[in-house]
Amino acid sequence: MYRYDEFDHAFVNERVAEFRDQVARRLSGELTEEQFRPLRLRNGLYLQLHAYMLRIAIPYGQLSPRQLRQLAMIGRRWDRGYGHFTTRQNLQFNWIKLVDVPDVLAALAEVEMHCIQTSGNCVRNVTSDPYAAAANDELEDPRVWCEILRQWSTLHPEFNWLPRKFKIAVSGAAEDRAATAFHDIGLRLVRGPNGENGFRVLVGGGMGRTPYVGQVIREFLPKEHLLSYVDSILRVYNLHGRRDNIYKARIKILVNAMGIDKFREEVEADWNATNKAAIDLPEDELRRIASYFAPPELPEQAPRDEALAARRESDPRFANWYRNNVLPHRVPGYASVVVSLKEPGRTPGDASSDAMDFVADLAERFGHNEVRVNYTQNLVLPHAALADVPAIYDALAGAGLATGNNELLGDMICCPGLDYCNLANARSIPIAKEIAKKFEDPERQTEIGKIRVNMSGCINACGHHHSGNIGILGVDKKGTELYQITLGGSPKDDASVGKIIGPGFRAENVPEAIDTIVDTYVENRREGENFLDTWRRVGPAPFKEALYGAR
Amino acid sequence: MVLVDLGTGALVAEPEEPATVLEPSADHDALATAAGGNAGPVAILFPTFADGRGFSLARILRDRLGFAGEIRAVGSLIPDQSQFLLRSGFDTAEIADRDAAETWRKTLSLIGRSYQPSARNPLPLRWNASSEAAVELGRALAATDDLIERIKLTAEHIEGRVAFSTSAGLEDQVILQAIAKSGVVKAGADFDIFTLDTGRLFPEVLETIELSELRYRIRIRLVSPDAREVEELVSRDGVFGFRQSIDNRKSCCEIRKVRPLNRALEGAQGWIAGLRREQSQARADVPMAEWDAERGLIKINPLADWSDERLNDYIDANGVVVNPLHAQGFVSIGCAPCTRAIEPGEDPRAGRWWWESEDRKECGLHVAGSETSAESVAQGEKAA
Repeated sequence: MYRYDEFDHAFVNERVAEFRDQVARRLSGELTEEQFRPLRLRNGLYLQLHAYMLRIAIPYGQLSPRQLRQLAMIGRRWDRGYGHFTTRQNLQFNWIKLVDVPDVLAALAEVEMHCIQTSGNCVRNVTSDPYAAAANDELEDPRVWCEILRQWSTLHPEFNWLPRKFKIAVSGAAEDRAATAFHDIGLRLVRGPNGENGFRVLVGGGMGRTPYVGQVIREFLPKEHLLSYVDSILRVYNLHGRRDNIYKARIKILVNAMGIDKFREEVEADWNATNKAAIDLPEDELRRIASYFAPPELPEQAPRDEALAARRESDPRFANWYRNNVLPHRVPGYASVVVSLKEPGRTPGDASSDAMDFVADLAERFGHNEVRVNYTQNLVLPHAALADVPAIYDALAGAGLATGNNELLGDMICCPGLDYCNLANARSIPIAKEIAKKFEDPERQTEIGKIRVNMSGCINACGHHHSGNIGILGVDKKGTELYQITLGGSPKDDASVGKIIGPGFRAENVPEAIDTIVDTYVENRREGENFLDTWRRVGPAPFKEALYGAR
Repeated sequence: MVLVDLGTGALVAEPEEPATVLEPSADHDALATAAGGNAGPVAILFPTFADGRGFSLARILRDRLGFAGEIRAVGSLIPDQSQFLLRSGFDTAEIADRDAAETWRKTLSLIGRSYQPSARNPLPLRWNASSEAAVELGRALAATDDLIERIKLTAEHIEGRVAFSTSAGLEDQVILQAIAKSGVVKAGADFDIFTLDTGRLFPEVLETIELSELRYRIRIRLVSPDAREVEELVSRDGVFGFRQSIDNRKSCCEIRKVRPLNRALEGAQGWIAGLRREQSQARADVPMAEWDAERGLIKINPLADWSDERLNDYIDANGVVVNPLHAQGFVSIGCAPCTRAIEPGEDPRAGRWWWESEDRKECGLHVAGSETSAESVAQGEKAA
């Protein structure tokens, strides 16, 4: 993985010193809260409902055991012994004190981590495929490009005061596991006309109160021009994005107001006027960064493990977990293992400091020192030998981390909601827990198969409800929490925004409604169909009928 | 009005009136007019400090329109934006509160590093860092005369894999002995020692490698050329086709040596070689450490400043394993068909491709092209 050199180390330390100075100026009153706010946000510090919340970037979702242990230490020492993995490969601590923040940042800098630009109207943490360099459908490692973008966007002189926040995701595989179509810029590595790799560039995707699927601004961009092209997109946005209304300030609004063709014309004109050589990364620098991402040397393993096969025969719980949480690896004899943070009754995405230490140990013993964070709020051991999988399972099961529901109904994405967030209108975590209980039976989940259920506690859509096959949105209607249900969303290649199926439900009725929707799907589906296939074939009528017919 | 000079953090004593004040919504024509006038400072208005359009305007004035005069930021700004202003091309910022001048001055120096190119440093500091690391290592190496110390310094300075390509020549045998004796490999340093097995090596070279492995208890990998490429080359040019023309000879070197070398160096952070300044005219300026931009690594020549005498004394004093061919008049030893013994007094590389002219007789492994040598980077820094 990427390692800081002296330059990177010195840089993050300078940034910590700068923030220490800013905190001191705020505490002395030299900075007003209005002036301090954008500065603290650019260091990941939010003022939440009960306390400050600190959001830590996990660039492209990659962690070393050492980093994970440091996060565990920070949780114990300065928070309440746990953290929350978010839907954008960040980790949030919810009970941090302002005076402690510079020390926390210094502790992060020690292990090559930071909170720079995890909030504020600037380019945020660049996210990616959690199975990068392990998946068997990968064209090129996207992390290299994420790191290049991370460096380029860090304290960019021109683009640090944008109209609104800006999110970029990169995917290098056949399957989009980074929800690129729901980002301000989505980058897909694709094979070009002459057999060389480049990017298909999407722009203007996003969730929030006005969800859009990103549109193609360029079918094929030669890789070497990534930075200059992104630079031009951001310049057009910085100059023309709306600044009069916070709800209309994202690039998706600009792209849709101008139309993709006009927007493309502006970007291409700016790009043609750009001295690209001054912005694009030199070949040797690209090579230097790429060299850090060489995959680990995996000793040769038998492609089939007899003990593992026997265990799958004899232990149904193991077999169920294996079927859902163990994914194929590009190297025979290896697999990627999903460490579930979705045990029924627990807050999705939460991990205790003990759990973090535990996973760090596992990564050292079995995982070639790598841990990944999925935007679906689970952890992943990307490189595990098949022969070690039973031992990994036994260890995880003992720690409550072996729920075998990856990509199934129980694998809900969920924001912190009204319990923590001062933007939220409704609770989300307790509802998610109730739904998880309703579908606790693993056999039922297996029968339902892969399905994405996402829930947000407010219109800002941190829980990605728009891209859920089933989406749940908490709203506040005259003082009561009401939950709107959308159907037919998808974060993958067939990306789409879910449609509201009808009037909202009261909290206590949500699990029953989800049950009804799922039953309707199972009754209607044909052999080989997933939820989206069925939904697109039969339309909303049977679902409406089942949900509201009796009324 | 108080005006801060963003370059120094000092206050400007007698500010000029701006010739133009640009609104943040200024279009291209307004910018071009302002840039063309050149009658005095161009001011760019920030209605609120969170409105970042002015940063793009300054950038366009500087980079696209070539405006060289003063660009001034006016309106609502906070000191913490000073570095963003400076790097976007602003020279000065107007501040309302004289008391804040000290904070402006301080914030300018809090962060001294940047990842991007900008109006102030067209080549980002980040990209220079690798060359600087090479300069630093070069200085450290030059500061000691002890070869084993130089090997240890290399292991300390370079984080990743260090490749050592040995031809089993005198220099490389000395370096091999020093690596073994320094203990860096046992201490955990990632050294990859290999030789390029071109398929045309002297048997004596292989004997020397075998003997060295036994003596120094160190594995030397043999890196082979791509078999298909060799087959195609030989069927096109013939078994000794390299004698027909320099182009043929170069493609032979390319396929048997350069490409295998590049494969072996893939991902390495350092590359140790045995180049010495005394070896030939082409090598007279070889630096101790240099940033190889083509390959993205630091190239180290720990013997760059050694004389022939020093080399021979070291070999004698340490009983270094040497190739028996040296005793028969061979000095610089490459592939068997392209190497002959030389007479006393001849140039040491006179025995390589002896039918070609002297000045650029390199196989392509050690050609200085786009690399910036440590010395020239250091000079460039001084000049800047």
